[in-house]
Amino acid sequence: MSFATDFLIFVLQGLIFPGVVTLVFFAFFFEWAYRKLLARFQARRGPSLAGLGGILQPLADFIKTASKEEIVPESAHKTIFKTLPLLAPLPVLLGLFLIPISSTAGIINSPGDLYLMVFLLSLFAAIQITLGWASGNRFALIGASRSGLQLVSFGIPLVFAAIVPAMRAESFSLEKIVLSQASSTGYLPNWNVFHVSGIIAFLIFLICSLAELEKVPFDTPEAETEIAGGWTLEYSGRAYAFIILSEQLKEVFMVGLAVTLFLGGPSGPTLGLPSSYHAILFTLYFLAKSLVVVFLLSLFSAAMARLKVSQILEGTWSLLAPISVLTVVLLIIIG
Amino acid sequence: MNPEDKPSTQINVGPQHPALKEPETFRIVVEGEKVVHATPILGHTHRGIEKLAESRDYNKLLYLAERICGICSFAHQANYAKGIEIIADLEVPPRAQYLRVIVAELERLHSHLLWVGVLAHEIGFDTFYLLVWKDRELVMDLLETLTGNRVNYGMNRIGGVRSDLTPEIRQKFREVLPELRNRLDRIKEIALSDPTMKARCRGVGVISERMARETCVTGPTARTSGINWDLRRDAPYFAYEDFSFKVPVSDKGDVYSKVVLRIEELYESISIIEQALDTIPEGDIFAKPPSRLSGRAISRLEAPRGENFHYLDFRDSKTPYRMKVRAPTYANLASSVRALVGHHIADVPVIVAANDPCFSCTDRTLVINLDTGEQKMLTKKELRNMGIKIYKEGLL
Repeated sequence: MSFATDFLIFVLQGLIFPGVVTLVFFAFFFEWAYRKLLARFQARRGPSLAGLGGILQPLADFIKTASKEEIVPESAHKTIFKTLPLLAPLPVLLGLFLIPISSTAGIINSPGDLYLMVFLLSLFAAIQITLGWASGNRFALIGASRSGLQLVSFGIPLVFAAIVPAMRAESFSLEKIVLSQASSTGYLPNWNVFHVSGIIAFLIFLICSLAELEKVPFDTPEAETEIAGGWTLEYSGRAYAFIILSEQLKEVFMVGLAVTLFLGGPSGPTLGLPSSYHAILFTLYFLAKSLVVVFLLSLFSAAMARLKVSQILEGTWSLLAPISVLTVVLLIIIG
Repeated sequence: MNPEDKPSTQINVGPQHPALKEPETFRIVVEGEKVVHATPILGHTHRGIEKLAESRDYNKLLYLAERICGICSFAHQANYAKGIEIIADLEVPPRAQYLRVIVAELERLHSHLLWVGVLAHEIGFDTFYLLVWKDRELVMDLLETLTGNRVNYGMNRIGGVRSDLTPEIRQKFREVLPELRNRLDRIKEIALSDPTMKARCRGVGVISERMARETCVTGPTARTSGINWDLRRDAPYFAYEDFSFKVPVSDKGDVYSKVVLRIEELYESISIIEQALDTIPEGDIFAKPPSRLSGRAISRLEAPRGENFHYLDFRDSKTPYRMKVRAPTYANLASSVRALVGHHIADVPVIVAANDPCFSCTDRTLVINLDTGEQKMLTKKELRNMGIKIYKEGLL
């Protein structure tokens, strides 16, 4: 009986809170926040028609795109072209189940969360390359090859940046990492971002997140003015809507990881509330911290021009990767 | 080069491509990310303006000439009016000449600011693009105040201009121009200091002086390649000989120097407008033209993009026997295609945009044989024979 109840709770968690429905809501909310902030940095108004302050715009975009006609090009690999976009959000959702949102642990957690995260990031890259290749378009192919180059070269600084919190928590489990940041010393909470090597790792992680999310200055795989949308070029209708959704979910994933690893995850003062309210309180903390990260991401994006692939590769291998290794060395030395 | 030699891919940039706001094709052959060969394919927006001109009254032609280009509409219209005035030997009142200078320089301001924005967008720097375009609105407002329109001003008439500079409008100019200079300072500061802007533009798309002379470039493109030539100074028209201004020249030839040079030009434009406001003479703003014209004229004018060329031929009539227009983009296109070779795909939109191309003004005639897919440009003789055939067989 108790197993059945546990299983039911697990399924409800996975589907509704903090599972799929909540995560998709978060994806739309973060997308709206990103677009609105970017617009304000650029002296525009941003989305403003659908809902209060345009908050429903990402949802409206999704519905509109999904209801459009789907065109399959002659030169495309038909099976992959039709099915893979619909499956693309699934690995991102799996990754999101690892992120602690409403409690100090994710819906699923294991001692090797970070390993799984690295594996998932490579899987996202593989999906993008396959999607670009399957559409049989030369621009898409160029975009896919750029995407591959970019994600492979940003993998190394990203992993080293993520190792810093893991070393401080002495664990690869995201739950342990969150708990290690829960205590506070003096005025500041004990978040990794307030540590010398932690702040460097946090900045490296943000830069790598921009690259993973393919936002300016690292939007070369999609570069609208160069290769007309890159690997997403040929997709339309429902397939495109799902690709966009998986991109938006990926944003929640990267932002959530940044919050978990460096900003203490969803934990915060409980304000003396009974523990049944903690889930909601933690979710609000998570959202607030996430918005800070989204703000930083949109600020970085607004302040720069798109770099060339050669410049990106040079920058990661000769600058970002050595710095990330040195950050880990710094942590070992000063503890 | 022979495409068979190495594994290479041919990609068509255009006719529909987000980097090109007007339809034009650049067929580029790439090896990996590197461009090894580029060919432009013109003619997607041929509008038959020159043929249409042969059936219109020369007064109505003013408005057709204005619609050759959306951005430098005043340059085309003023150049056309200048040509007619040469044929009619018409003395244009000095006040009208000064007003033409003011509008021409305002147009240079809005065109160059637009270009800086477009370039920023091409390199993915959308923040800079939107901030520049916000500042450009100041110029658009001035144009609207003076002429009544934001885009196609309809400012010229044969023998003068249509609307006058009232004291209120002059006051508004006095208020806005210093503010515009401040905004320019900020734009210049961003353009000169932003590292990503430098990374994307410096050393990109270099057009050497020799290449520039071989491909007959004009305007800012020529001046960044070390060719010191500006019609406003070297063959003055309107009232340009009355003003003192510098012509910025650079010999670097890359995209970055084009940004800097255009911004420098804008300071000179503001200075010219201020001088014109100070010294504008009183008097009429237009002189009455004759009803029929006879004669030929070549009219040249320094448009924002370069030298604008109109050839007019009237044979005792109200409509021209022949009108020929050469927009500056036509002269600059060959150089940008040569500059593309050896650069990356990422540089293609930047290099193409660097010349401020305006393809719709440029397009003439292209025939595509639908059965074979063969494309070719028609020679004048072929066109003439085709025209005779069409008229004889009554196909029209």
